[in-house]
Amino acid sequence: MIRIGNINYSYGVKPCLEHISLNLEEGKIYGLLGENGVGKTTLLTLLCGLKQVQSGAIDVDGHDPFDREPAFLSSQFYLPDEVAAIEAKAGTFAHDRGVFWPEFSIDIFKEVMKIFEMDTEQKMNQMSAGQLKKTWISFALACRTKYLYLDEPTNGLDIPSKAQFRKAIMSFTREDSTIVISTHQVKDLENLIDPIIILDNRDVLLNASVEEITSKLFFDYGTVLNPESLYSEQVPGGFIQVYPNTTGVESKINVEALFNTVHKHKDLIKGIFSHE
Amino acid sequence: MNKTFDLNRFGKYLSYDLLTSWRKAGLSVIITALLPLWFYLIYQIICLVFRGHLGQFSVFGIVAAYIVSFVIVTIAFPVRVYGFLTSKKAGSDWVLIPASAFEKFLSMLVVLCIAAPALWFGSIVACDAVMSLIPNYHGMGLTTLFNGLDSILSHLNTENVDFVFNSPVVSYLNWSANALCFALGAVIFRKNKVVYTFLSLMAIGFIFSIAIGIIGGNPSLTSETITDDSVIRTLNTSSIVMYFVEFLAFFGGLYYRIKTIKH
Repeated sequence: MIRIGNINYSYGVKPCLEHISLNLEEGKIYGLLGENGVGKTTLLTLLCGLKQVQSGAIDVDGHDPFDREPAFLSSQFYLPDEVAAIEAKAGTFAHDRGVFWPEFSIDIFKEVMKIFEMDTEQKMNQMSAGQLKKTWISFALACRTKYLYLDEPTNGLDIPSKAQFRKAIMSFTREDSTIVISTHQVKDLENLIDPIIILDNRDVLLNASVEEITSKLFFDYGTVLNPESLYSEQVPGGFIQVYPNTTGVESKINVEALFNTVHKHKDLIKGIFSHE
Repeated sequence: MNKTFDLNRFGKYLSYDLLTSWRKAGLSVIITALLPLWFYLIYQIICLVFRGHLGQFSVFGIVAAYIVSFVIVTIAFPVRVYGFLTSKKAGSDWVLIPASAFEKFLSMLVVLCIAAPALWFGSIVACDAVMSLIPNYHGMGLTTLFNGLDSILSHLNTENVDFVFNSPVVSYLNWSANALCFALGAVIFRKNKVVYTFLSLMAIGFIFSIAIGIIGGNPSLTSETITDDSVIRTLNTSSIVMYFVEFLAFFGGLYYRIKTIKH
C-alpha cells in the first residue's frame, strides 16, 4: 500500500506539487492523468525514490522511497518516458540486469519481446526510440515487481504496439501489483486503467474507480444536447456529453470527456466524489 | 536482509559493475596501455621516411609513453565508466538498481582502484614483453624503468636522511587519487566533466597551498637555516597530509554523491 501524505515539491521557487495526499491500493492499475506540468512525472519519481519530498511523507509498505533500501528497490520498477540506450544486446541486458529483481523471469522477457515482435539479439543502442521503449517495457514486466510505475509508456509506440502493450500488461503483471501509468494518450489505455487519478498542482481532483465514476456520472453518446450536461463535445454523428448520473444506468466511460469535465468543474466534481 | 551490505547482493552488483565497465572501457584501457608500442611504431615509420633506416628509440620516449598512457587512463576511465550517472536517462536507471549506496560505492572503488589499474598494468607488462621481442629494440624494461626512477629520486638523498622512494606504491597511490578525483568530477558535473574537474583541482590546490603555508609555515626557516633534511621532512609530511586529506575527501564526496543523487 502506498500512502502519500500532504507532500510538497518545488523546482526552485516554482511549486510543482502542493499538499497532495493520496492512497494507492494493491492489485490496481491506476491511470495518472493531468495537464502538462502538473507534476505527474515528479510524483512518479518521488514514489520510486529518485527525488525526495520537501515536506510531507510517502510510505510504501513502511519504506521511505528516498532511503532507497535494496529490499524496497527490488519491489519496484520505474520506467521513465525517455529510456537509456544500453550498449548491449537486449537479451544480454535483460540477463545481466534481471538478477537484481528476485522474481525476474527471462522467459517472460522473451515472451513479451515476442508479443512486440522484437529480436532479443538486437543491440539496444542501435534500436529506434519505439523499439527501445518496447525492450524496456518487456524488461519492466519481466521483473514482476509489486510496484510498477510507467511514465507515458505508449509514447513512441506504433499502432499495433499499443494493443500489444495492453495485452502484455494484462498477461504478465502480478495480481497483487500496484501499477501507476502516467499518460496523455488516454485512448490507448482507456480499457486498461482503473481507478483513474486526475492530478492538479495543488490537488487530487479525482481518484475513483471506473465503477464509481460511471455510477455518479453518465456518459451520453446521443444526438440531442442535454441541458444538464457538465461537458459536451460535438463528434461525428452526435455529441459526447457528461452529466450527473441520476438514473443509475451504467454507461461506457470516455476518459477524455471525463478529464475535460473534471477540469471544467473542479469543485463540483470534488463534491460529487467526496467520501466525507 | 541487511540494508547496507549483503555479501551475496554485493557479489551480484560487483560482477555486473565489472562486466559493464569492461564493455564500456576495457578495450580502451588496453589500447591506451599499448601507447609505448604505438609511439615506437610511429617513431620507426618517421625514421624510415626521413632517414631511410630504423632508429634507436629513446628511453625518454618509453617513459613519456607510459606517463601519457597513465594520465589518459586515470582521467578518462572514471569519466567513461561512471560519467553517465548525471544523465537523467541512464543515471536514474542506475540509482534504482536494487543494491545499497554503500555496495555501489564499494564496487566503484574496486573497479577504479583495483580492476582498472590491474588491467592497465597487465597490459603494459604485456606490451613491454612484446616490445622486448623486437630485434632492433634496445629500450628499457619496466623493472629497469622503476629502478631507474628510484635511483634518480634517491639522488636527492643525503647521508643524514633516511629517505626511501617507492615508485610503484607512489604510482599506485597517484592512480587511485586521480581515478577517485575524476570519478567524483564525473558524478558531480553534468557537462565538461574533465575540464571542470581540472579547474576545481586547481582552485582547491591553490587554497590548499595557501592554507598549508599559513598553518605549517615556519618563519624561522631562512635560506641559511634551510637544509636538505628539513626540506625532505616538510615535503614528506605535507605529502602524507595531502594524500590523507585527498583520499578522505574523495571517499566522502563520492559516497555522499552516490547516496544523495537525485534525478
